[in-house]
Amino acid sequence: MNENHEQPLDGLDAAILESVAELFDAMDPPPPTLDDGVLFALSLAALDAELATALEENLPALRAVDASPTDSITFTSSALQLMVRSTEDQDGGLRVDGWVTGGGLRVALYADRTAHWATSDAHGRLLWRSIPHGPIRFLLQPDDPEAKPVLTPVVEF
Amino acid sequence: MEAAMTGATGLVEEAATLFEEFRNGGRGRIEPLVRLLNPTLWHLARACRLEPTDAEDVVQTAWLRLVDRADTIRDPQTVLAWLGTTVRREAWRVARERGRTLPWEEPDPGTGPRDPGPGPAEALLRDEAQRTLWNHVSRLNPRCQAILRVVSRGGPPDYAALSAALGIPVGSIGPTRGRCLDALRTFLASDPTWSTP
Repeated sequence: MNENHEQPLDGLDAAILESVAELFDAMDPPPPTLDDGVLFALSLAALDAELATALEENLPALRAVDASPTDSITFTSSALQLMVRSTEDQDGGLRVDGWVTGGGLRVALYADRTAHWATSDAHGRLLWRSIPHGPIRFLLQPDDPEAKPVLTPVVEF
Repeated sequence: MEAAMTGATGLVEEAATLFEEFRNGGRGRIEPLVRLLNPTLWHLARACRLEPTDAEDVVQTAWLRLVDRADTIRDPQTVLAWLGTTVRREAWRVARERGRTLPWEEPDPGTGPRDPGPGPAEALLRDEAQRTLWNHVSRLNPRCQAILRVVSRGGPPDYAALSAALGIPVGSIGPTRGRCLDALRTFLASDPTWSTP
């Protein structure tokens, strides 16, 4: 390849480039969440979890269009199924009800990178209160240490 | 010159060292590498005209791939170029989805002055010298702006790596950078309010 046109950087070029770097850092700095977001994604990836799939929810035909603002979604994996439904909580946060196939299962709701752990009761019920609005996802930790944890895609209610 | 060139080499070297430590020490040790390289990857993603949210996603994807394929990278010196390439390719994919092109894919419109678009940027810059510099940088064509934004990060100092990260033929990196810098220098030289930093 021909690098003849290459011009060596002189001191002024270097100084200008440095100012350009500072300029873009001032104008459009990396968001403060960038590093933690990456580290969080990597820590989830390190769990080597099975990724659950979100099923298109078949809403009951009778449900009125203007029904109270609830959202529900079902996730499935090879061994587990999780259905969640969210409603407004009194404090302005979200109340998230969950049903999972099995009692005594530990399930984390991740909101803004904070894990809110809950354990399903004998009927597979789960409950989280005062969850901030925004993207959330769930991590299911099977009892069997040999079984892979299950991670759901991110959803927003 | 010395400072800038050492800085650039320094980033690649430091990244290589941290990447080696990560490979030898396990996944928990990736944090210093993430913190070192994220600003550069961010500016690369944004220079590809990605929206901030898309840029964050693309940077995240690049790291997930790196951790997945860490063993396939033979030379730790290439880790920044590898990440840069991944960011650029992903940015490309996202930009296509959104029906956009990357600034450096467009035909080179030369380096002549263009109408500076009204920028909210100026309001953000409290520093007088930075406002002056932005006035001139924003007169460069988008291709030049993107290239200078990335090159100025002290990115990969060797042209092969920079070419991979930017997706520009290796033979064009030097001349393109040279033309863009020359244009900027000319603008700055004709501005009496500008003083060399």
